[in-house]
Order: sequence, then C-alpha cells, then structure tokens
Amino acid sequence: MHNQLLFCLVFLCQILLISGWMARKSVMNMRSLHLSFPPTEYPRMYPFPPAHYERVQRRFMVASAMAGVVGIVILVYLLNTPRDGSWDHAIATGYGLLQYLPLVLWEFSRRAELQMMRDTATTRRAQLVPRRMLDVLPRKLLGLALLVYLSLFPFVVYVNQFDYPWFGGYLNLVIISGMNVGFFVMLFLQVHGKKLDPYQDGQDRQRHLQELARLLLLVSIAATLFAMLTVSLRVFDLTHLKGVSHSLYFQLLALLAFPTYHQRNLDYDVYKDGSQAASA
Amino acid sequence: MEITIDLESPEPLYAQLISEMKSVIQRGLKKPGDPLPSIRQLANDLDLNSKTVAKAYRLLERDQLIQARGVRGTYVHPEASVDNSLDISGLVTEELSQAVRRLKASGATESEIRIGFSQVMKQTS
Repeated sequence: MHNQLLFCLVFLCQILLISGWMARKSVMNMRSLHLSFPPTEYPRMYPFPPAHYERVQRRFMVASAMAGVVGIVILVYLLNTPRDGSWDHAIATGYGLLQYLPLVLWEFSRRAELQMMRDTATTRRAQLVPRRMLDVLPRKLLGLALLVYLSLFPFVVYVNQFDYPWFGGYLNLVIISGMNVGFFVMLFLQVHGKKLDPYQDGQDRQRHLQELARLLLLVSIAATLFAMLTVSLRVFDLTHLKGVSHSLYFQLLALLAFPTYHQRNLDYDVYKDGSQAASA
Repeated sequence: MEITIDLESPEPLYAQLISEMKSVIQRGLKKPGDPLPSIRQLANDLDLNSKTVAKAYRLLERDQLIQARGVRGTYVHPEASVDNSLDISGLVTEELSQAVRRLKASGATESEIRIGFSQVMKQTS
C-alpha cells in the first residue's frame, strides 16, 4: 500500500513537472522572446506571419494541458483501483513519452521555420574554422560517460551470477550501446551536417553544439545508471520500486534537457534588417 | 572570422567564395599554415553544392593561396602572398584557347566551333 502511494506521489510530481511547470515555463519563455525581439525589429527571426507563432504556442499549450489531464485521469484511476504495481513502470514510461509529444511537435514546427529561413535567406554565412567533434565535447564529462559506460560491462558480468532473465542483463548492454551509437551519429550530423539557421552566428552555433554534446553525455550517463538500477532492483527483488524509478528517470531527463532549449545569451542582431526575408 | 555569400549577386558563387577567402587571407585574419574547413563543412554551412566549393578550393590551390594536405585537411598555403590575385578572365581565355586548338587540330572549322560554342552556352545557361 505504501509503495502504491509512493508511486502515485512521484507520478503526480511527473505530471506537475513536465506537463505543468515545464510546459508553462516554455510558453512564457517563447512569449518573452517575442516581446524582447519583436518581428518589426528582428524580421529575419520570423519567416512565417505572426499568426503562425500564436498557433504554435496555442497548440503546444493545448497538447500539454491534454497530457496533464490524461495524467490526472490515470492518477485517479491508480488511487481508486486495487493493483499489485507490476504495471507501474509501464504506466510511468508510456505516460512520460506522451508528455514529451508536445515538445516533439514543437521541434517539428521549429524545423519548418528554419527550413523557411533557409529558403528565404539571400545571404549565407560560414566560419573559416574547421569543426571537430572533440572541440564540442567536454573532456571531463566525456571521460565520466566512458567510465560509466565501461563499468556496465563488469556490472552485467557480476549480475550474470544471479538468475536474471532477458539474456542475463546483456540486453541492457546492447540497448545502452545502441543508444550511445545513436547519440554519436546525432552529434556527428549536427557538427558536420547542414547549418540549419542561415543567420546564426558562428560562436552561437559552437555554443549550441557544446550544449547539445553536454546534454547527450548527461543523458548517456543517466540512462546507463538507470539501466544498472533497473537490473539491481530485479536482482535484489525490489521490483516494487520499479515504477518509482521509471517516473523519477523521466523527470531527471526533463530537468537535464530543459536548460538546453532556453539559451538567451545569443546574438540576436543577426536577425535584424531582413526585410526581404520577412516579406517573402 | 566569417565569410558571407550573396545568393542574389550576379557574381558566380565560386567566385564570391574565392574573393571572400582571399580577402580573409589578405587582411591577415588567416595566417600561412592556419587550418581551413573541409569542402563538405563549408558546403553545408553555406548551403551550397560541394562541387561549387571544390571548384573554389581548386582554383585557390592553383593560385597557391591554400594547400590540401590529404586527410589532414586544407590549410592556408605557407607561401600565400598578400598580393596574389586570381585572374578569372585569364583562366577562361586559357581554357577556351586550349579547347579551340584541340578542335582545330581535329579538323573542325571556325564556323563549326562557333555554332558548337553557341549551342553549349544555350544548353548550360
């Protein structure tokens, strides 16, 4: 009973943090950005008419509110239904993915804006400095991520002496390795791929890449530790805490990712004097 | 340091790229031996075809302003002189002269060459 109440409490935190506080903060940041850098002075920043941005904000708020309502409904159901908690981790994970959906849709909308910017921009800027992966990766964090990842190998070998299902924990090794390869490819494409914002200052781009690299390393560390925790819970027969750990994991990911999406100390002057871009 | 390309300028993109890079080197913002971005990186950053950037790099290399060092990348030429300037019209004249000489040697008349040149210009414009 205590475990179920604990899960409900942590699940409520998940609803409030991701669909409540973070969603509200994101919209407030977007509005504040529009007020500080209005389309009249920074026309290159807004390739679409103002109605488009209002629509994007409204859709994001509605989607986040709906996710919040779904969360409350699930919570009420959990509180009023007798259960053994074996599905708690699936509920936390499934709902966590649902909560991230508005952010994913927002990101798609941002991609469309950047594409429009590229289509309308009549000038292109580039830095005459070669970019390398190691220039954007923080060394200490990279070392820590490697250490944590490598420690997963002896951990799985250790766990193998217990009667652990799912290939004796090796599946976690495969999943974490695949995730790290995916992160590497993602960062590689960002570093060596097409410049998405044609007006972006070179130093701002470098800073953005460093932030992204830091985020991916932190997520890699968090995911590896989470995999170890999940295996440990199973091995030491603490599966009743699995739901709580999944919910906390999603909250941690959200807290890690949040600052990356709200960089304010950028050079916005590059978006000035773009009458051609605005009228297109 | 950054370079800027104007897509609406009548000047060809590769020529703009050459003059921008030359200006950076001439102003001393890039010193001999300094590394330069790869063709792919510059093409992606400027949203240009990599063949355009490769052509600019090839001509800059011919003029000894930059130096390709295989897999190690491209660098400002150790002997990149500040008054080095690329003669585009001279290059066009030289290339066309060679082609005309070859055609004449193979038996083509002047009028055939003119008609052929005119057709090629129409097809490629």
